[in-house]
Amino acid sequence: MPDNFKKLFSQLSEIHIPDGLADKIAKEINHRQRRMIFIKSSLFVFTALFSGVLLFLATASTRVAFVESGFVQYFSLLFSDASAVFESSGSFMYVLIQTLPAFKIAITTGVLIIFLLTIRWTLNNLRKINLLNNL
Amino acid sequence: MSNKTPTQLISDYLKGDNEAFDILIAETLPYVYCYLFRYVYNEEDAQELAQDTFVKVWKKIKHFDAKKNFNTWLLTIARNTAIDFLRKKKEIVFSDLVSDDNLEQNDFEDSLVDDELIPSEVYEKQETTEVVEKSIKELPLKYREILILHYLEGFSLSEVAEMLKLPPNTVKTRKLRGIRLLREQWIDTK
Repeated sequence: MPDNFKKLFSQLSEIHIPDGLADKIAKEINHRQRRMIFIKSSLFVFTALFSGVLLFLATASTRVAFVESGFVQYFSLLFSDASAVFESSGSFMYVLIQTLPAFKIAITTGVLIIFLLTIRWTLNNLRKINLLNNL
Repeated sequence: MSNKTPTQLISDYLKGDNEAFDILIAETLPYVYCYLFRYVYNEEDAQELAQDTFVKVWKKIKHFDAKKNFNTWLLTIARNTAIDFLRKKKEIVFSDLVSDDNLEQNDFEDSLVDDELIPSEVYEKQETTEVVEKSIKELPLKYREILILHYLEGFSLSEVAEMLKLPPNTVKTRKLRGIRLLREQWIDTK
């Protein structure tokens, strides 16, 4: 006879675990995993496309800004009239920085980072889908 | 059966081995299911709760701290899932888990309870396990869960306190009150 509660509790009847419960749970998790990956992938593909279009527009706009601000013309002086540029290199650098379309460069860089990240996430998700399909 | 510990299986799963999570489910399900069954005493509910528990484990697995005990973490999730379920079914209210006011006895009286000795009346019955199971089922949840975690699942009182987010003294008091109630029920059934 048991002499303490621990022994007494250990005598409790064993609980029967329903057949196939572990498989049922594993399937449910697998199903949720697929659904989550599908939703994520759709979101990433959409974001990648959207940021791709934005990147194209931002790049075009930045290119125009480089021309309109006079940066390209000033910069070309480096190759056409290098001696004059080196004589007044201080003021040349100042003008060059002043005409740099910094805001548009920042926007384009931001969009580029988002685009590259979404491409990376999309590829990761495709790899996960591939792994799940191979199970 | 896998030779790997739950922490190793989690690590494998996070590295991309999906089968590792299936093994983790298969190995820990008996443990979780028995615990949940004694929480709700209904096979269908216990199955549903076991599934919900593992879905939550899967969702939170990235946040599992490998330095902590996996079984403690797992049963904490199982317990929270069971409590949410019972609350939705309105079978328990918050006070069932936090208040000890409905018992008139004081801590001194509780301290006189000996948790090692079992009334001889219990052994005189041939259906010992049935009597014990019935008595446990009829215990209020706040006592039942502590006795199950401590005596059946083998957690120390400090681990139980950590799981239930209760002060260790409260856990000790509830354990002793649970034992006292069990004894009273055994004497009544005699």
